[in-house]
Amino acid sequence: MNKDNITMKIKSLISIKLRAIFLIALLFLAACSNSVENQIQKERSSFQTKNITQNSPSKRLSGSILLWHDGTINEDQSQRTVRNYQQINPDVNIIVEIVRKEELLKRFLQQFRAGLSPNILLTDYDLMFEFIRANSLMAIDPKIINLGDILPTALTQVTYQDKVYGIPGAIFTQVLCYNKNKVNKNQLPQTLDDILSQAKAGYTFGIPSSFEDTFWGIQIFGGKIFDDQGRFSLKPGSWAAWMTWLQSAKTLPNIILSSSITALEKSFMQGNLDYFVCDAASIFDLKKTLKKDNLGVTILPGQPEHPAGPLLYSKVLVIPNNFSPRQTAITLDFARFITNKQQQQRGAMDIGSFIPPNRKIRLDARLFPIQATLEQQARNAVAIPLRDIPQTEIIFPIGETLYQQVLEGTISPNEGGEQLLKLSRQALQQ
Amino acid sequence: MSNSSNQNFTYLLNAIHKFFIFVERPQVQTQLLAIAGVILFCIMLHHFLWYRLKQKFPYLLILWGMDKPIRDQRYGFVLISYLTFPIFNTVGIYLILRFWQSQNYIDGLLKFGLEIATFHFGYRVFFASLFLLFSPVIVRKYQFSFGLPILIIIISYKVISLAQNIQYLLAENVLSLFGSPVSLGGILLSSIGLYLWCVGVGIFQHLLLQLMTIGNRLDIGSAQATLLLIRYFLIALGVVLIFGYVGFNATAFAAITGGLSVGLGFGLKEVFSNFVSGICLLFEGVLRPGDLISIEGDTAEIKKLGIRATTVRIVKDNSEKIIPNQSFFTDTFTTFTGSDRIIRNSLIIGAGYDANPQKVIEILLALADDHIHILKDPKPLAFLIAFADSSINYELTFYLDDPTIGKTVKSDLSRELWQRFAENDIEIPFPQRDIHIRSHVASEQSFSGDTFSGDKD
Repeated sequence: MNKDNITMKIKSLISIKLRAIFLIALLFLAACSNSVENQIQKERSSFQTKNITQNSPSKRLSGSILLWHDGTINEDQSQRTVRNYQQINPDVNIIVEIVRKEELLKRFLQQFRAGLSPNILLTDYDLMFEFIRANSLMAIDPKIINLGDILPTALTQVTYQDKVYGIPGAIFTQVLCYNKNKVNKNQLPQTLDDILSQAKAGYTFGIPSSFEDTFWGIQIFGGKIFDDQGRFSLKPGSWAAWMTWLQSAKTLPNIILSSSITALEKSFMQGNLDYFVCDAASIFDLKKTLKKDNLGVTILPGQPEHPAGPLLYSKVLVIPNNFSPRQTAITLDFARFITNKQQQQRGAMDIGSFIPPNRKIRLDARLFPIQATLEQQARNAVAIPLRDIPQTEIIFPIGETLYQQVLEGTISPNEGGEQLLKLSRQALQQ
Repeated sequence: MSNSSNQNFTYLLNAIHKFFIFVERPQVQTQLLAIAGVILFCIMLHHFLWYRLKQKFPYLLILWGMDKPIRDQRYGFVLISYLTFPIFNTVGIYLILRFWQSQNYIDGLLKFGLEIATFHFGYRVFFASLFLLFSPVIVRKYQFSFGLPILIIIISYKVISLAQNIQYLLAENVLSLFGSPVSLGGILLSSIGLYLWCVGVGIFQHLLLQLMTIGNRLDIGSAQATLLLIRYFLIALGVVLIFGYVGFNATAFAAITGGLSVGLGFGLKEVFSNFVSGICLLFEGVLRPGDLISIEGDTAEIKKLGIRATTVRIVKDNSEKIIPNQSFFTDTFTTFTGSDRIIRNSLIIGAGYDANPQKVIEILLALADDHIHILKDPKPLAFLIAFADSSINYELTFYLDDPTIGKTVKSDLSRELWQRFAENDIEIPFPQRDIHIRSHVASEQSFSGDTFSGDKD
């Protein structure tokens, strides 16, 4: 019995020691991993600046990365792009995951804080501000990805405090869509008065109705929301004048102002609307539904000296900054691939509903009329820079409330304009 | 396999790929290692502590086998066993997290680990507190069969939700059964969910039994039989609800099984017969757990009523028999506890012819009256039953409310009776012969000097 007890004691001692050794080894690894992590951070920055240049051929890459997008981009095009890249880099696996826009911000930040963020994210540029504030994005080194050919307006939407945090992938804005079956292209409205007269003549117009969706009309009356220094500088008279026009347009039976863009789209697709103020992003679906090239696109009506100024926004690629060097290399290479001139040109030709941010891309207007119209509209569009997004997040909700009140007739357009200016300034000062 | 099935498996494969993408990252590796290190350290500490305690208090080895709630100083050991690890674990992860935050490292996984550790601590506190109300055997049985699976499911759900849209994952259709798509969530619900439902019903049954038999308001056997019916009903209900929720196509299933019904009918005839007999027995209330019956000449106690068979304990050798329920329908058997648990016993005793029968009867009745287990109502009776060869035979009949103690009571009575007879000079005769010599030859031989050894008459 004594011998058994001794044997058991020895075994338990050995097992305790083994566990202790294993534990110490784990902790040692953890400590080393931390210093490795610091080392990796250093290596990554030197890796980015030293080893990769735009013109150097990519080394054979292998590994997997995760790409998120919010489901609003063309799925076929994105799959094709991924396949094309994987043909060049067969050892790279790209997992594509759709995360709806409503949960994108929350889920991204939550996963980023755990180290589980995607390697690359394709989303609207206005979300970038929150990502930058959370210190979750990697600044793009111009030596790695050429930013010189990007449209300046698009570049302002990815630049914050002189650092570029994203790569514009596509630019969108609003245009006037029309049904070619019902509208003669020689009769397209050029001014706001043309809209009213065509409406009286029986043509139907669908206009998305919200402060943001009707922003395009402010510039017609000489308004600007921010000056070049990013200061809030809206002239109350211009917005009031625009609201006055909208109020009068609303009284015409053939002009439909609706907050439901989906309903307006459906109505236009069914042929119940002749004109529709559409977002460029929906052009692809509208083309599919209105078969046989029945979709026409023209710039929004304005005034000769003051054209319409719809909002211009970019779909951007951002790269979070918490993964391994191997994943970083793949991500940067992939980002370079999908934003290169050939890929963008191809995408623009295939989909035909966005403006490529590379200013060197020129598509023949005779072959791609929709593209040409989009580019023409973009020249007058209002691109709110990234640095001004926090201000718009304050101003636009105020604007929306006053917009509804003016349209309902609760307050007059002039009162609304003054309130907008006053409340916005108060809110910005706080 | 259809395209949609391929896509479903692709989604699942991608989920696995994503896991490897994350684990490749240094920030994730360091956090996971830190958590694993803390857990391992706490496990070792707990084992060491418990090992030392068992050496000092050997009775801890049987602590979990006790069949009564623990409400004395031994409860401290329950708390040590259950709470040492989670407390150390939670504190350890918290300290690591503070350090991580001071260095501005990515700490999301550590925060998550702390959340899980706190939840686990709450789970342990809950089950530790149950030892005050229920026996360790019961608590640990349901902790490992019910509590632990739920804990694992919740933790797995939270872990997977960290990096996946779990609703989407569960909604993915992985196969088609009888023409209906079956999602991953459906498979999990119909397997794990059904298991947990059945165990949960068992817990509910147990709790209800405790409530119903508090203060002996209800006979245990009747309560158990009733609860068994409720249990079968709830399980059937659970099966119907779960399969209905999952979208199980009952029509297709019925069509397929309809074709097999003839074969199934023949093959499972006995099973169905036993099942239906079991249900009928429960409804009738003829047999309940605790009843005493006579079967194949042996007295047996009903231990458990099942849906196919009934388990009985043979009293004489404590063995168990498993009897198909159908037997109770086709054979005759005797139950000693059918209407009530009162059973009649009798003791037959012989007293000498010189003892006053009235006196003997009074002694017998007094004896019965003094015994604590003999019922006063119906009252005991004593009879003179026969003038036998060697003694006058008497019978004492009495009633007991516990059929299993008859032999013990008879033994007590017999011993006490001997004592009282001795005090009252009453003889308990044993068989004897008086020889009376009646012939002349015998008499003359005796006067001539031959001696006879004979009893006097």
